[in-house]
Amino acid sequence: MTDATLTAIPAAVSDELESPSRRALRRLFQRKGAVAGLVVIATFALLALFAPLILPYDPIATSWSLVRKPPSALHWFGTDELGRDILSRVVYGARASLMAGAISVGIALGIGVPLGLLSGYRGGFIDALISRMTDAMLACPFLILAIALAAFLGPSLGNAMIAIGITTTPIFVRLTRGQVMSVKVEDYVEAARAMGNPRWRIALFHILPNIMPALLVQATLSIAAAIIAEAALSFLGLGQQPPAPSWGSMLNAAQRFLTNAPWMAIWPGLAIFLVVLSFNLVGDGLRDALDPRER
Amino acid sequence: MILKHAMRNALTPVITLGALELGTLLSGAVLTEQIFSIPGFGKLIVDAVFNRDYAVVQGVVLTTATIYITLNLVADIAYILVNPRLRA
Repeated sequence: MTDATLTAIPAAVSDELESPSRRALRRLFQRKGAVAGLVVIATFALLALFAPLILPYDPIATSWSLVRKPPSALHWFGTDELGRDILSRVVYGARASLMAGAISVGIALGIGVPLGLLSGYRGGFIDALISRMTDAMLACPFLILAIALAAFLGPSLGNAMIAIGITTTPIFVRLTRGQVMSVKVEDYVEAARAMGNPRWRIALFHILPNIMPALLVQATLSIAAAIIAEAALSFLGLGQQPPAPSWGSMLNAAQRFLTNAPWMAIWPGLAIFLVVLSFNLVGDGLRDALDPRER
Repeated sequence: MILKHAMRNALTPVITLGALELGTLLSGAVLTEQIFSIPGFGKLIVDAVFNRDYAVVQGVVLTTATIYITLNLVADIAYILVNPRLRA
């Protein structure tokens, strides 16, 4: 027996004792793409949170002497067709976009997960009913359903969030249902039932924590999709209403001046690109980090 | 030889993705048609939304859903044509 094998044992033991969430975090931070994504998201979130403290200009203050000026020392990102500072508008637009992403996915989780739990755990008629409803919703292309819902609710940022949230819900119902079906035959669920736990308790405290990783990954990726959907709805005029800034509506305004004032389109476009890419990178990183098969 | 034997087997994932992508393209058309003002489905639904013409909105959603489902059905049938072993 050499020293090397003796010293190797404690390290292996401590690795066994590491809690699953801590291990997932450590593995997430080992991935450069995911870390870069987290940094970008954190930057945007902080900027959006403290926007009024950082920015020198009001995002909706117009000025006729500053119409469509190129980027300069005073206005770093230039100004738009009404003389508004684009940097301020991009940062305030981050508020709308990040909020839309988070809230719509929150709505989807809030409706989708309980329905999926019910459907997967109870089975039978309820399962058939819920599954057919999700099938029907998934039959419509995502954006077209969101546009139709936003149209019926009336154009506003809040309604756009609700529309995107409801359109994202069937994905979560289906994912939760599938996960529950595969988890509920495991031994620990059987053991919990043998100990006399009521059904709701098993579903909430034994099954739900075990399907959390899959939900977390899907939620992160859905935020990216929701931000694109919000930009698309705002672009069409169904989301954030003017003069409040949003990346989608900024792109819509910029489209008419693309050859004269390209900076009006470049900055909001770049912001959407960066945030969506970051959420996708973090989602992929989470998926790898939470995968129990590779240690 | 490659065309006949390799392509048949390689075609299955292409068909799956193709059917799903066409759905994405249908919703993407809403934006492109708006930008270049092409008088198509997407323009129709957006104009209908702003004119509060809900019947047209419903019609467009129903039609795109039907197209989407039909495409998926065609993809399923194409699977069997490409790979007869899948016939259950």
